[in-house]
Amino acid sequence: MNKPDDTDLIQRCQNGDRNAFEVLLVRYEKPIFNAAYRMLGNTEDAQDITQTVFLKIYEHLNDYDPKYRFFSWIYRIAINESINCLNKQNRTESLAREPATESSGPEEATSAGQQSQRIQSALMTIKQEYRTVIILKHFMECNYLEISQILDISEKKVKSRLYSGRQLLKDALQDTRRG
Amino acid sequence: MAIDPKFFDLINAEIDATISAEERATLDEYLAESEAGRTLRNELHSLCNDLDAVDPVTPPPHLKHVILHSLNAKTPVLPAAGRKKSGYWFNSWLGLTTVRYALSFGTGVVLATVFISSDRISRQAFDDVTDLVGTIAQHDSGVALSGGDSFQLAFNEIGGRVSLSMSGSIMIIDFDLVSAGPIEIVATFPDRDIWFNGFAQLESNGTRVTAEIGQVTFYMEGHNRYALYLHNASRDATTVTLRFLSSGRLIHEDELSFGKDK
Repeated sequence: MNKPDDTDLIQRCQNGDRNAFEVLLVRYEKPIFNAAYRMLGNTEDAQDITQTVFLKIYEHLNDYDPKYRFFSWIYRIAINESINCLNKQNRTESLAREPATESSGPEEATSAGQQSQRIQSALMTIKQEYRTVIILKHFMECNYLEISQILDISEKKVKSRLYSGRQLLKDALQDTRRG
Repeated sequence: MAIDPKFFDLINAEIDATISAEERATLDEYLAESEAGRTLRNELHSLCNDLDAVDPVTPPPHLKHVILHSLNAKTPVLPAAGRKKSGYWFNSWLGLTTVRYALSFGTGVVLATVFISSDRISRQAFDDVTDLVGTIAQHDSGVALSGGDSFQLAFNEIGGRVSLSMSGSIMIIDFDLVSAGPIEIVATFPDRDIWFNGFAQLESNGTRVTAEIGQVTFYMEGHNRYALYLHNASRDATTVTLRFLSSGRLIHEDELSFGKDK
C-alpha cells in the first residue's frame, strides 16, 4: 500500500484526524530534530525545538500554504525556532569563539562518529546564516530553490552563502586539525 | 594564491551538479593551469563528501510521546477564523523543559496539587504525615535546594529525567517523565529515619499512591510532572532506589544519592 502523501495527511489533520498528525510526526521528527541539533549543537535544545515545531504545526495547520511543499514550511519553522533559541541564549557569537567540545554530542565514539563531531564543532564556529544554508543543503538535502523558499531569500543569495559557508567550514576544520 | 571568485563559484557549481557544459569547459581550462585551483577543488569536494556522509542523529525514543502528549492539552485543529487561542501559549510554554523546572520549583506552591487522600496511604506512614499540603508549600517557596543527583530515562516505554534535591531536611525527587502506557514507579529507601512526607503534581489528574515504611509506590501514564517528598531528619547521606515497571516487568532500576559518591 502506498504511503499517504503530506497533502492527504494535512487534509485529514484539518478534519480532526489525530492519527494523521502522528504519521506526520513520525515522518518528520527525525529531520526536524537533526536540523535543530545541527543548528544548536546540543540534544536538549534540539528536543525542545522539535517539540515546539510540532506544537506550532498542530496549532497553525490551517495557515499552511499548499503552494509550498510541506517540508519547506516545517523546516522554515524549525530553522526560525532554532535561530530564536540561539538569539535568546545570546549564543550565536559566543559559541563561535568557544573551543569545540568533542563529547557534547550524541555521536558514538567511532571513527565516523568522531568525524561527525568534528564537523559539528566546526559548524558551530561559523556564523548562523552560513551554517543554516549548509545544514539545509547537506543534511536536509534541499536544493537551491527549496532553500530560498525556506529562508525567504533569493537563490543567488543561497548560492553566495553556501559557497562562502563551505570555505569558512573548510578553514574551520583545517584549524581544528592543526589543533 | 587567491582564487578568482568566478572559478570559486564554478567549482561550487560543479560540486552541486549545476554547472553547464560551457562553464565546465572554462573550469577545466582554468584547473589545467592552476595548482591552487586544483587544491581548492579537491578540498571542497572532500569537505562536501564528508558532509554528505554524516549520519543523521537519532532523536530519543521518548520524544515522540512527549510531543503527542503535549498535543493532548491543545485545542483541536479548527479553521483559522474560529480557532480558540487561549491556553496555547501557556501549554507551549509549559512544554519547554527548562520552564517546567522553573515553574515547578519557583511557583510550585500555586500550581502543585496535593491529591493524596488518607485512605490511599497506609496508616503507618500517615502517622508521620500530618500536614501534607503545608509541607509541600513550605518547601516549594523559594528555599535553596542542594544535592543535585539525577538520571535520564530513554526507553520506548518511558523517557525523561528524575532528579533529587535537598531542602533542609526534605528530600525532593522530581519526576519529569512521559510514558507510552501505564508505568508503576517504586521508590525504596532502606534508612528507617526517612519517611514519606508528601507528593505533588503539576496538574490534578489523579494518581494512586501508596506509602509504607521504606517504600512509596505510584503510577503514571502520559506526560507527568511529579514531586515526591521524603523527610530525612538526620540529613545523613542516603540513597533512594527507583524501579520503573511496565505490566510488572522491570524496565529500569536506578539510584539517587544524597551526600555520598555514587
